[in-house]
Amino acid sequence: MLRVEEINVTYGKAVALMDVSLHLERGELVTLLGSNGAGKSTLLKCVSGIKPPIKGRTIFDGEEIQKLPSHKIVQRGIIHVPEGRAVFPDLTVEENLRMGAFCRKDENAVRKDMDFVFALLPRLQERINQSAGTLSGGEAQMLAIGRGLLAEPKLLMLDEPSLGLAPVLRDNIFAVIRQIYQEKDITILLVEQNARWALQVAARGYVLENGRIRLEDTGEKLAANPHVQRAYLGY
Amino acid sequence: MESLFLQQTLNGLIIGSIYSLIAIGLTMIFGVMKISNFAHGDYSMVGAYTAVFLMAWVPGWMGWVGSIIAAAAVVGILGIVTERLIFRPLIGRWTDIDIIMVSIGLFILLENLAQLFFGATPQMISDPFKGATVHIGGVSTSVLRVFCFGFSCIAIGALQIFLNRSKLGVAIRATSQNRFAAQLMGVDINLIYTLTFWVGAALAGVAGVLYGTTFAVHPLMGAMPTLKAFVVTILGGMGNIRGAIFGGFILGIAESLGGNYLAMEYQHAIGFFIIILVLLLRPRGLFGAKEGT
Repeated sequence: MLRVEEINVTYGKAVALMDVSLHLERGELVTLLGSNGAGKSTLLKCVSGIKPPIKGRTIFDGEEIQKLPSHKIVQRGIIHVPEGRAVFPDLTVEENLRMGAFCRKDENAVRKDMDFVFALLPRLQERINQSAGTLSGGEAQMLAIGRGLLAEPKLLMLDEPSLGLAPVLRDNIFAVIRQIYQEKDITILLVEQNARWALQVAARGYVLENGRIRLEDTGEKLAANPHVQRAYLGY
Repeated sequence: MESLFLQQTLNGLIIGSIYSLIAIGLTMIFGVMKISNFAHGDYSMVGAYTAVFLMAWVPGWMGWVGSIIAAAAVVGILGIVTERLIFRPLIGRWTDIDIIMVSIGLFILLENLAQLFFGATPQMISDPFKGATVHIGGVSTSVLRVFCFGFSCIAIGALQIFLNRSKLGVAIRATSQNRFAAQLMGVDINLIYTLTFWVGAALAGVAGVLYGTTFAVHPLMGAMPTLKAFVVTILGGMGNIRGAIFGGFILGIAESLGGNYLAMEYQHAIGFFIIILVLLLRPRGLFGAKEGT
């Protein structure tokens, strides 16, 4: 479904990604591990067209997309839920969700998805007319995910969804992600600092270090890998 | 004494509505593109000249109302042209200070072009209501000013409906709050830039007709509205539209009352005194968001 082929991304003279390749098949949940500054967010930004690569290709459903502007990539169904939640603080919860559906025309389908999101995340419905800036961290993360779902994603890229959340809220987010994956016909690329959980839920995983892919394997095998255990699982 | 206070408050409300109209565009452009456009008041100058020329053809109130619409169209196009040719190529490449310098260059260019083509002599837009006045209670004002106030409020109200009810309007607000996230929603950021400049400049053009009818029209008339709009924008919070609306009225009333109770000569200084106070006591402005959000 998505193939990233040997991309390089630079910020000025600093090389953020070097010869990075990865692929996701339809319906897979794949995780991307790596420490701070390894280039995980850059990779997502590259796929979503915010930070185009200087070399290499990204191919989605057989089409080269690395040169498309971000709004065209969203229209093709690649939805990036950014790190740090990034909700629109002065818009209401409902307006935030509607922004998620910005590219969609079919009002009935949008309303259906809105109902799905409210069933999944009932707190959002309670706070529908509140401005997003007043939400707690966990609620804002729920909103960011809900907003992403309203874009009708084929590929959902979640960047650190549990970052900065208390353990209870974090488990809650994990349950929500699991439920989305089970109930929707959706492919997920998950960047997650909680490697233990990510490797449990993901079929496959990649380890990104210093802008390069260091390891690639199934979730189970990565969890058993001594390097991964030392660096990411805290053994 | 009391009626003098009411009278000055009314005058302040009327001029304040025009300040709001100019400042809204400035603050929208700042919010969405992070550009401080020092040529913004010159959009008003071009709007005022549009009225001078149109009303030479069609005098009276029909010409006046027509020139408000024409100014919105002409200056709206000027806004789009300046955005596409001057500002967009620089965004993300040049620093904020560089872009401010470029906008000051644009301001000088527009002033001098106006001087070249229209001459330096101030021109009057004749009062379409022939100096008629209205009296309500103990206060009085010209019919012209009542209409200026009315048109300002209509334009502000229409903008509010656009920004709150339409998809593109909400997208403008969203972009202003978080440009990166808006792009991830599939918002075409360049379209939003153009739209914001178009709307902001058109409002300034409308304000220019109202301002020019109240005062006089000359090539250098844009400087004062630019400065006033910056006062309003800082007062209300950079990028905050509601802040710009209220800030405009606050500045208008403060100038009017201050000019009356302190001294007429200090009228224009009051705005800058307000800036100093705001920057000292509440740098994010009356309605501004907290740091980091």
